[in-house]
Amino acid sequence: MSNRRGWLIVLIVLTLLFVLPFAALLSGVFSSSDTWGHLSSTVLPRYIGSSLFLLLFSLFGVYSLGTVTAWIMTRYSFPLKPVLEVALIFPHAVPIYISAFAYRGLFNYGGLFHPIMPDFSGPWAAVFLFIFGLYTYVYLAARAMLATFGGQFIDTALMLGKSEGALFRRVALPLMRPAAVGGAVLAGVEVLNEYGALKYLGVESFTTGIFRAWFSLGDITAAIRLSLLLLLTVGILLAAEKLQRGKAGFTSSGRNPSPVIPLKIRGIKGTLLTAVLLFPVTFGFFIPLLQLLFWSIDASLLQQWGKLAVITTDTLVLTLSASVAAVSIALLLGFIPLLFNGGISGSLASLPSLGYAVPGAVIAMGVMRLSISADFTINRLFNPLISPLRGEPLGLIFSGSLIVLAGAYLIRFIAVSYKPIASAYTSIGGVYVDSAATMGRGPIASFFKIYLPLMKRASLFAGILFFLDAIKELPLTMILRPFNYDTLATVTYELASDERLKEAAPFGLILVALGVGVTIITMMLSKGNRKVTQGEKKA
Amino acid sequence: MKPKEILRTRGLHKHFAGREQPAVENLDLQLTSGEIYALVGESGCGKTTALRMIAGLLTPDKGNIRIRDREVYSASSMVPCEQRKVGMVFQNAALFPHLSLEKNVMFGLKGPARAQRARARLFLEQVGLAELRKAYPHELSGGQQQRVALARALALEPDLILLDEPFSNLDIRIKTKVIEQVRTILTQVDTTALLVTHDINEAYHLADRIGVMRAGSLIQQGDPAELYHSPADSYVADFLGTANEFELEKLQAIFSPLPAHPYGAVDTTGSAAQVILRPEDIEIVPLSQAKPTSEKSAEGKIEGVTFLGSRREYLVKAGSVKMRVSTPSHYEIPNGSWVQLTLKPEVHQHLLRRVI
Repeated sequence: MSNRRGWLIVLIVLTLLFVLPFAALLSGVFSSSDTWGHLSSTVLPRYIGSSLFLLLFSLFGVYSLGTVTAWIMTRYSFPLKPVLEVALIFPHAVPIYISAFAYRGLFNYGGLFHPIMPDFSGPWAAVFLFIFGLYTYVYLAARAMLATFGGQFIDTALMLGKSEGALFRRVALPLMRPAAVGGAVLAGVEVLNEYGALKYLGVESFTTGIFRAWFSLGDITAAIRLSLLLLLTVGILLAAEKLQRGKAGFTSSGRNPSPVIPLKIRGIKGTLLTAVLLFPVTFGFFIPLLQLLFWSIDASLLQQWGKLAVITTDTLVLTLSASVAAVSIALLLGFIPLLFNGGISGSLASLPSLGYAVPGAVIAMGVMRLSISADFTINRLFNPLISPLRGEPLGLIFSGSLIVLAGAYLIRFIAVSYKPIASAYTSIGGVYVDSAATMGRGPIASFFKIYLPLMKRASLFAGILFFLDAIKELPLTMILRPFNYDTLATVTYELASDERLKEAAPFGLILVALGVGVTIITMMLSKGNRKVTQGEKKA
Repeated sequence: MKPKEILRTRGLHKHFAGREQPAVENLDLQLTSGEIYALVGESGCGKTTALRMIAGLLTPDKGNIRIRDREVYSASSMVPCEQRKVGMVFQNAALFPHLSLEKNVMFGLKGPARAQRARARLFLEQVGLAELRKAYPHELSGGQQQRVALARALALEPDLILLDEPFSNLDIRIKTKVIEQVRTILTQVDTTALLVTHDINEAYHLADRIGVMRAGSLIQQGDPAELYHSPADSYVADFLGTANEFELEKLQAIFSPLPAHPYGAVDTTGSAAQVILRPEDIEIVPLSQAKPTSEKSAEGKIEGVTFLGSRREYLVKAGSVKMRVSTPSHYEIPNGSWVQLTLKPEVHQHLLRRVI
């Protein structure tokens, strides 16, 4: 056991690296601010009111749409269900800010819907985009819960003479609740994280406030204070979720899976169900996609080909590198607790995952403050030695560098890589570490020769999920990117906010295409995983 | 020649944080060369904790562990698991799923690949699976997997093999056969082994000596027959098989007067004196077929019959006590019959030791 202490130190150092930006944020809150007094007395109440409005109505819509679609997809079998199975997840691949400018174009002068409604802006427009863009969080979580454990409850209720309506209200909804609320909280974090769409639609929120304080007023302390208020709001959301989940152990713990066998619905009723489910896919995916396609063809892709290729390559290099780093770190974070039978090491390893609940702008402010402090310290310590040799001071090393941007992606999204990897480690268990030890082989041999080969599939899955989230991230990238450096997300947003919608479209289209491609691969991989698991059970 | 000591633990102790009772308390064990020892007890009694401490997978709070001539744990020193020269077979075999059987056995071996391969083959032959050396674990039955796990552990020529409930996941139908195969292999290679199990039948099949643990403490150890016939207390008696437990006074009243000889030396003045009889210690015949006997007998009525395959077990009420009595299964006495109960003569020789 004694030779495992080094691994514990690695775990502590890794966890500290992930927590440091938050500590930096906290330490910055007491610095002096020129504009805070003015901001807090003028715009702050508006930020709070507007953010709460967006949260309340978006989450109500997201929860309703997510649970209803989850119920229909699980309980019934109807025409086109296999197609909808895939298509219902596609809205997740469309960033909200891209939907925003696609819809704005449709309602603008010359747009298809302009005669019906001449304007698409303001908080209700944002709520509409959030509902059709984020319902997938609730849908996926609720459906997984219902499909896995709902069978016996539905059968029992049917035998007790309950109608289909009663089944949904009295069996499915309570059963889905813990998972659905968990999904809704993640959607809430996305609402609070959103910058591009809200700025574009003229809606104020904490995130737009942070940008204003930093970019327009140049007041980092005010931006940090707003970030902490935003973090507090997220904290309240998470606490509420934990509170409602407190007594929800009835759902899955200790229960055997009991899949739902779908009821076949044909004829008009079946067609009606298909039509109902086509709504979210149409509003959340097809309409923005078609608009982007229309503009892209019109803009003639060839004219921008060079710029498109450069920015796509830059984005892929950055995001893929961050994905590889994320998977590597998640593999380590998941492995180390196996050496100590969980306990405190397990809690330490899951600590970095908290970043997923923190909006990108907040993380960006923390990381920026940390990198500025690091640069300042390095300059103070080494300039007296190095400046005379170089003829100039060291200057900025970390601030505005790609490494810091990639690091911030890791802090924000490590959870999506860690989760599938940790669950693969859990299903494999720590017995191979013990087994190898009794054969004279230490943890390094166990990690490289046993666990890594067994984690290939989970690692791929983890990398893809990370990639999908990181490539869409806008506020964090906007704040931390190096000068004159663009990603698909930033260039799409900047062109669109300059009302150069047709030029923005091809960049947005590539983002959506990458997202859809990755979503399909992810679905195939999880189906493959299920098959493998079933095969193992059979054996 | 005196057999060489392979394992010795002294005062081994482990208390997990947050638990009221220690998991293992003051455990003293001693295994000699070639011996197979079974540590038995209910789930949670501390037997696996003890095994993991001996393996080096868990650090004791105090105590001392010596393997062969080397102290591997004491207050001042701790040899890591990787250097203890102990082999271990786990409950689920723990074969690496992505490696062939041959590669599994080669995993812990050192030296040129060719030599490793030859050695792997040798030990797979030993467990009768050399032909399957290129197969993968999932292609094997549970029993075959455990044999490969044993080959993998033996290939390293450990001083001691630790068996952590290796048969508990096996189908009852093949369990006995696999245990016998394992016993044969362990005897052939003359290895010292420590088995932990909650199944006393596994211990009977495999072990030369058995130790019974309860709530972290070793309460009795010895030869299996000795433990079965002379349990230290009613817990051990129950754990090792079906036991009828009586107050000595009541037994005397039923079989009164009991033969004077065995009980003459017993101080029966204490009201707590208890006697344990196994179901097979008592002979049972229908009253209609009862013969006059020189032994003292009692009368009773059958209140229940259970068919158990090789034997039949009767619940008989005699006077104020109920007892379980067994016969070979082809011998059938209808439920509700009146019967004559007689203590078997050989039981008298041991009865004295059963007063606890």
